Amino acid sequence: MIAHARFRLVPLVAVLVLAARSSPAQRVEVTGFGLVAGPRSAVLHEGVRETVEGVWLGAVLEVKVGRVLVSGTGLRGTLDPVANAVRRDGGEQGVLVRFEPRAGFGVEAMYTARAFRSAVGYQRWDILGVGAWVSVPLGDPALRAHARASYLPAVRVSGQPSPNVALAAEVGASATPRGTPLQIRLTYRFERFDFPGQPTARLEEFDRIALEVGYRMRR
Amino acid sequence: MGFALAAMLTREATGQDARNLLRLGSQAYDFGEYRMAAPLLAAGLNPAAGPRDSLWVASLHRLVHVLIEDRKDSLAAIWARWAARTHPGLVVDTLDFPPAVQDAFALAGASIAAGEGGRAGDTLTETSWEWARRPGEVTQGALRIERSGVPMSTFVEGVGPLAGEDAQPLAPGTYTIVASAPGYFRTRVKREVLPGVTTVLRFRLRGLSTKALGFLYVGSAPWGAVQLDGERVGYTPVAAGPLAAGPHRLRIERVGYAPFDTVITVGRDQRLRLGTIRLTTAGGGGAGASGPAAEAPTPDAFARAVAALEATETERAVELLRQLVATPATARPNVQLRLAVAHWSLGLFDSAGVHFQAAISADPFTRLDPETFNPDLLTFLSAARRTTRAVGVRAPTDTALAPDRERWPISVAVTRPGTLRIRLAGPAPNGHDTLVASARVDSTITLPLSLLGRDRAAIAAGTYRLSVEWSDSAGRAAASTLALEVSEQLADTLRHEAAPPDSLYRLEVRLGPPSRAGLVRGVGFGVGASVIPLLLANGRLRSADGRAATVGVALSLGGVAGYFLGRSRQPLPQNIAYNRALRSDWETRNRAIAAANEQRRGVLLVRVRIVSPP
Repeated sequence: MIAHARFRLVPLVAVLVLAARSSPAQRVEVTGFGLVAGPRSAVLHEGVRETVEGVWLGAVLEVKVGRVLVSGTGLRGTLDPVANAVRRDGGEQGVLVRFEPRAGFGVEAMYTARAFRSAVGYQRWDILGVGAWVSVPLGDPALRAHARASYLPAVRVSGQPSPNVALAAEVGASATPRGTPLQIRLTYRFERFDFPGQPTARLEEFDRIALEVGYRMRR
Repeated sequence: MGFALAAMLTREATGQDARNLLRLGSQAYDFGEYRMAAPLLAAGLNPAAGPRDSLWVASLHRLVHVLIEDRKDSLAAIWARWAARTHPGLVVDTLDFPPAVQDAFALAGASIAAGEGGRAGDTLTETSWEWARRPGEVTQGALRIERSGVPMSTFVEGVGPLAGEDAQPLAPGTYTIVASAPGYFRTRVKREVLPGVTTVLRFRLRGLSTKALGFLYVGSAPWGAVQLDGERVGYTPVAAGPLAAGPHRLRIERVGYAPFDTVITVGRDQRLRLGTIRLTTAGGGGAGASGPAAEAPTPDAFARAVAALEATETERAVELLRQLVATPATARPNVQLRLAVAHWSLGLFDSAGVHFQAAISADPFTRLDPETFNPDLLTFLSAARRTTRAVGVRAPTDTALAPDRERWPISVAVTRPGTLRIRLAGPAPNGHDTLVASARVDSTITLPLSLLGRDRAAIAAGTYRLSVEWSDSAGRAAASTLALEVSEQLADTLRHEAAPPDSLYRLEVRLGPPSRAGLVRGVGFGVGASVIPLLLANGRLRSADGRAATVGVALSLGGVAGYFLGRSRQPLPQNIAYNRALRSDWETRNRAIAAANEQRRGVLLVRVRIVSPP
C-alpha cells in the first residue's frame, strides 16, 4: 500500500519541483528552527487505554524557493508512561514539500518516519500524507496563524495492519519580531489512526505541542 | 445763441461785484450754459460780499446743480458742506431743483450734524474766506492760519504742519485742522477748502487755567484713534492731553482690532499715565497696559528713552532723547524720530517737524512703519521730506563679485524727485573721475553699477570715491560720497546646504482603525485549535486536552494583540508630496550650489569694501 501511495505522490512532487524551477527571479529563504515538543501517544485496545507522553527536542530546516517550500524535521526524546504503559524512547524524521499557488495558501505532501523503542520491543511508523495549508495575518503582519489538514493515505506500522482511518490536523501561531531575523512558532498537531481488528478495533492518537524558535536567512 | 451769451457774459463779468456775478451766473444757468455759469456763481457766492438772501441761496443751489450735471459730484458735495457749515439755517429748495441737489444738501447737513468732531473748537474759531478777485477755472484752494498772540502750532490731518502765516495750497475738500499751544486746550476743527478760495482760520484757544484740569497720557500698540466721552480727540500717543477733572469714558479703536474701552477718573493737576495699551485683533484676548516694569533694565540711554515713551512718561523720554541728540556720536535718525513723535504727542507740532527734518537729513532712507505710527505722523514725515534736501546712499559694506557677470548694487534715497549722477573717482591718488550712472529718481532707487573699466576689464585695485549728486529742475542740488576700497580676491566655494531637519518633514501615514479582522481570525483559529481533539478524535479516546487549549489561547491572544497593533497605515498623499518637494528643493539648491562652485573655481573676484560711509 505504501508502494501504491508513493506512486500516487510522484506526480504531485514532480509538479511542485517543476513549479519551483520555473519561477523567475526566485528568492531563497532559509530558516533553521530549534524545537521543543511535548508529544503524547494514546492507544485504546481491547478496552485498555495506554498513554505515554514526554519531551522531545529537535530541529527543523526550511528552504523556501519562490513559491515552493521544502522542510526537514528531526526529533528525539523519551515518552514516559501515564497509564498502563512502559517507558520508551522515540523520535521521528520527516520531510515536507509545499507549493503555494497564492500567498497564504498551499498544498503539500509529507513523509514522516517515526519510531519507538522500549523494553518490550521496537515499532516503526512510515507515514505518507497530502494536505492543505493556510496562513493568515492577525491584524499585524508580524503575527500570523496557520492551519493544516492532512489526509494520510499510506501509513505502515511494523507489526500492525495499515489503519483504515488516518487523519491529521495542525493549528499554530507565529510571530516575527520586526527588524529581527527571528521567528517564533507555537503549534499543536493531532493525528488519528483507526486500525481494523477483531474483535475490537485498535485506536491510536498521536498529538504534539511544539515551540519553535527560528533564525531566517534570505538571499 | 449760447456762444453769443457766453461772450456777452464774459465781457460783463470782468469787474463786476459779487451780486452781479450771481445774477449773470443765474442767467447762464437759465440758458443752460453750465460751463459759463459755474465760475460766475462760485465767484459770486463770497459771503463777505453781500447778504445771504434768496439770490445767494438760489445761486448756491444752481452751482451745486451745475457741478452735479458736470459730473463733479465731490466738488458739489464740498460746496454743499461749506454751505451747511456756514449757513446752518439753509432751507433746501425742493421745488425748483432735482432730487440730486436735494440729496447733496441732505448728505452735507447730515455730515455736519454728525459732528465729525471739533464742535467745541468750532465755536471759538473764526473763519473767513478770501475769494478770488476774478471768476475763472481754478482747481486749487488754500488754507491760511492767522496767528494770534499765542505761540501756536497747527497741522492739517493728511497734509502736514502749517508753517507761518503763508497760505497752504490745497485741493478742494474738507480738512481737519488741529491747533495746539502750551497752556491751552488743543483745538480741532473741520473746514472746507473751496476752489479759488483761501479759507482763513483764526483760533482762539481756551486757556487751561480756566477750570480744574488733569492731564492724560496714553499710547497704544498699534496706533489707534482716541475718543474721550464719545468725541474724537486724535490718535495715540497722547501726552499731557488736558481734560476736566472727573470721570471720563476713554476709547481707543482701530479697524481690525478690538476697541479698548475704559472709564478713567482724573484729579485736579493729576498726570494720569495709562502706559501703552496693547490692542488685540478682533476676537482675540483682552487689551492690557504695559508700564515701565515691563521693560527690561538696560544701560542703553536710547532704550531707557524708548521705555519711558512706552510708559507714557513723555517728558522724561524727551529729556533723555535730547541728551542723546547733544552727543554727536549718538545723533542717530532713530533718536530724532522718537523725539519727533514725543513732541507730536505733546502737541508741539513745529518741534515735531524740526525733528522729522533732522531724522531725514541724517538718513534720507528714514521710513515709518504705518502699523506702528499713526497717519498724522506719516503725514508729518512726508511733509518734512518735502522740505528737506538730502541724498542718502547705501551699499553692501563688504562684498565680492565677478565683474564680468555681476554688478555692484547701490541704493539711493532722495527727498524730492530729480536726477542722479553717480561718479567713481580713483584709484587714488592719480585716478580719474568717471560718470558710471545717471538716472531719474522720485524717492528711492537701486542701481546696479558695473565694475568694468573702459577696456572691459575689472577696475584696478585701490581706493575710490563714489559720489552721488542729485539735482532738480529748480536748480537745487545735494550730494553724498562713499570711500571704497577695491581689491582682488579668489572666489570661495559655497558650502553645501544641510539636509532639512526631520522636524520639517510631515507624517506620511496615518494609523487606521484597529484590525477587527485580526481579532476574529485569532479567536477563530484559537477555537479551532481547542476543538481539534474533540472533533478529530475517535469518540472512545476523546478527552479534554490542555495543550490544544494552550495553543488556542495563544492564538486568541495573538488576535487580540493584532487588533491593537495591526492598525492599517493609510498613506497621506499630500504629506508625501510635501516631503518629496522638500527633498527635491533641497537637492535642487545643492545642485545649484555645486554648479556655482564649479563656475567659481579659480575665478578672480573684485572685493568692494566701504571704508567710510557718508
